[in-house]
Parts: sequence; structure tokens; C-alpha cells
Amino acid sequence: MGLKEALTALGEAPYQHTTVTLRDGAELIAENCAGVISCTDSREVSGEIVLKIRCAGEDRLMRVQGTGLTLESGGAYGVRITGSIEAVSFLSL
Amino acid sequence: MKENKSGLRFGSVEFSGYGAFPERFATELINCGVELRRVRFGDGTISGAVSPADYWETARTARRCGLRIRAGKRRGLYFTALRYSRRAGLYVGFLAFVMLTALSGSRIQDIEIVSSGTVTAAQRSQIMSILGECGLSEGSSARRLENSTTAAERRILLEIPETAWVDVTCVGFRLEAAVEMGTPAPEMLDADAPCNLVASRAAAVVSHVVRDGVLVTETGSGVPEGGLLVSGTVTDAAGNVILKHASAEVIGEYTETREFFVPYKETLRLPEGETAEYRWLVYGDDEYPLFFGVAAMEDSVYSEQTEAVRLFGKETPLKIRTGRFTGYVSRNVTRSADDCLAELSRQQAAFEENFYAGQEVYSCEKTAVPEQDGIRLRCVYTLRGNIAKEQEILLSQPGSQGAE
Repeated sequence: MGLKEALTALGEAPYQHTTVTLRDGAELIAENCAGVISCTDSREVSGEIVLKIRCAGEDRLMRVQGTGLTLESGGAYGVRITGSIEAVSFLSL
Repeated sequence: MKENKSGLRFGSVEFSGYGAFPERFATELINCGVELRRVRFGDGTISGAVSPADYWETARTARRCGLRIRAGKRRGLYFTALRYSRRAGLYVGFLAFVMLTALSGSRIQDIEIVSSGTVTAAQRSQIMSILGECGLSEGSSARRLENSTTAAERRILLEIPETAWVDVTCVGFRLEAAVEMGTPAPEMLDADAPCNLVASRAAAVVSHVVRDGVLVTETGSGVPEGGLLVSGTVTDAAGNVILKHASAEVIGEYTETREFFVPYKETLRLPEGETAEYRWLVYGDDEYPLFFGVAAMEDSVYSEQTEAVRLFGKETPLKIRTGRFTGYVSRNVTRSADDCLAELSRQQAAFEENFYAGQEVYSCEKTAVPEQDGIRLRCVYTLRGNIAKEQEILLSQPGSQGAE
């Protein structure tokens, strides 16, 4: 199941899918990130960053797994993760 | 995402830290709107970069989250300026530069005499001396010069008779005296010097009005160029010879032939190209350009107009001068026979206006001859005009009454 299908399954309307964008497995942009929930060392080996994103009016946890993950923030609630992204999945609270 | 697009134009501060809650630290910074760059999470560690303005917020957040962070490399204009901000020499140099500029701008540093004609060395020396006497010399103040420049202009006009126009202007620290010399008066005989009137060109005399002297060539006679028309040598009733200044108007009739040619195809250079406008603010004799660089454009025609600056409907002493350069462009023109004739007619009218204004065009016999590449117009003019020209009577020996 792709990211957009997963978002739709979680209840987000299709027109809201642009709030999370995954490009080429190297860049993930979440425009509605409410925070960083957890993180592990991803400098040399595969690690993860778990983001809390606001999705269809509810907070969801999104796990981004990969190697050499770098997080950047362009301001409030805008987050960009670059690196070798291997998997993106949603967790239940 | 490049740094110059990310709001970190004024530099960045790298940080690294360790502690219990790096994710909470990141969350709080995101919620505060802090721009985070290159944030990497390690084994209980975090590293990244923020802008200098956000660093103190970052440090406070780290303390709240139980993180110990440390600033690393500092990059950008802010830190470069900070590094040099304690160098007193820079401030002294800047102040010296400002003072020198202000001082040099308030004093006349250079005086230049410009003219489109010729100003002799003696005239230059005299102009410089007049400027000096009016308080306009190198080193004198360049402020409030209006009275001095006006006085200098008047004195130059009065004391150098050859001058026809003078404008003394101070632009910045340069004083410029624009001096134009008048055209020398043509040689003319004194009104009482004895002279004859001779024909300036071969013609047939059609009328005359003799005011003084003896008419030699009667109406209807032909006269060659230089032929005597009115003699200044007059004999009185007692038989004495008197030399007079002959005065008369002798109208002669003569012909001239002119040819005009207009081709069917021609490349004309017309001022219809791109235009460039430059503006100057004018205050009294001074003018200040409202642009950078030099007001010039190659191969163009120049025109200008000056408008007064109005404030609430009232004229101010300021004026705006607008100069417009219009570039020439080459255009290929193809004319029909009628177009050629119209152009020939225009050329002929312009010629008559320019060259025959002082004469009467009695008749004009026109012949248009079509040629392979255009039309040629041949005009045989019959003109009437005053052909009398003064010629001084030269006496061969002092006291003698022989006339030339």
C-alpha cells in the first residue's frame, strides 16, 4: 500500500494528500508535522524518525525508516526529511 | 534546498549536543518556528544548524529539554561583520573617507574653459583672471556661487569683446566656463570711403535706384561679372572731379541651372529607432543627473525639454530637464514615379527656401528626365536680385585723383 493509499485508509480526503509528499525515496515533506516523537541513530545503519502529523483532523504517527536521515524544518509545522528513505508507515496511538 | 533560499542568508550556527530528549528538543523548535537545517539524530545525540537569530532560542530550548548543546562553526555575514566590528581603523578610515569626500565636494578643485570654437591663450588667461577676481579660483568654496558666476559672466562679456555667450557653472567640485566667441564681422567699407559699384555676377540690368554716384550701365544692358555699374567718380558743374561713395540698388536678371535626382530605391537613415531618456535636476546654474553613467547614445538624434517642478500648483526653483536620444535606423524605401516627383518637388522647394530667399525667382523652367534608377529634375531658374557690389577706389598716389 502506497503512502497516499495509506493516508486515504486513515481517513484523509484525497485532496489533502499533498500535505505529505514522498519523492524518489530520498525526500519526504510533511507540511503538517506537530512534532518529533522518537528517533534512533540513523547515521551509519538504518534508523527511524517518528513524526506526529495532523491528518484529517487527528494526530497520526508516521514512521520514516532509512539511513543517513536528516531532518530540516522550514518553520512551524513544516518538516523535510532527506536521506535514503527505506520505508514509511503509520502507527496507531 | 539551498541555504540562501532557506532564510539563513545572514549566516548559520552549527550545534551539536547530547541528552535525554533530543526528539522533544526538535519538536519544540519546530513548534517555535525555528528553521532547523541538517538535523541528524545519533545515539542520544543531535546535531544541526540554525540561523544566528535563532541560536539563543535553541539554547534555551535545549536547557528546558535537558540537552547540553555546544555551538560549532559560525558562518555568514553577521559573524564576518562581528569579527571586524572591533577594528577601530575601519571606523577611522570610513570617517576620513566621508570627510575627504565632503571637503573635496565643497571646494572648487578644477576650472575648465570649454568652447565649441577657438579661445586663444590670451583670452583663456584673461578669463581665468576674471574668474579669480570674482572669487572663483581653485580651492575657493563651491557653495552659493550664483552671484559670483553671474558677475563673472557679465565681466567676461564686457571685457572680452569677441565673446558672444558665456555660462559659468559649478558642477560638483568642477567649475566650467562655457565661452562662445562671436563670428567676426565681415569687412565693410566706411560709409564715406570712395567706391564704385560693380556687378557681382554677369546679368542683364532690369531696374536700378541710384542714390549716389553716376549710373554707367543702363537698364536693359548686359554686364559681365565685375563690370562697372555705378561710378563713384563724379564731375561737378565746374569740371572738378569728386570721389564719392557710390550707393545704388541695381537689379539684374540672370539664370542658374540646378539638378535634383531621386532614386527609385534608396536606403534612408531615419530617427525611428529605440529611444533613451535621461533626466537632470536643475537648480539655478547647477544640474544634477538623475541617472548613473553617461548620457550618450551612438548614432542618434538628441532633443531635450525643461519643465518646472511644481509643488501644490506653485512653481519651485527646481526644474527637470529631460534629454531624449532617438537612434537612427536604416530603412529601404521603394518609390513609384509619382513618389519620386513628389520628393523632387519637396527638394526643390527646400532648395529655393534655403538658397534663393534673398532673390526673386522670376521664372523656373522644369524638365523631368526619367532614368534607369530614378528621375532627374532639371530646373533653369531666371532670378532677379541686387547685383551691385562695392569696390573701393584706390588712389595711386597721395593727393592724386586717379581712380581705379
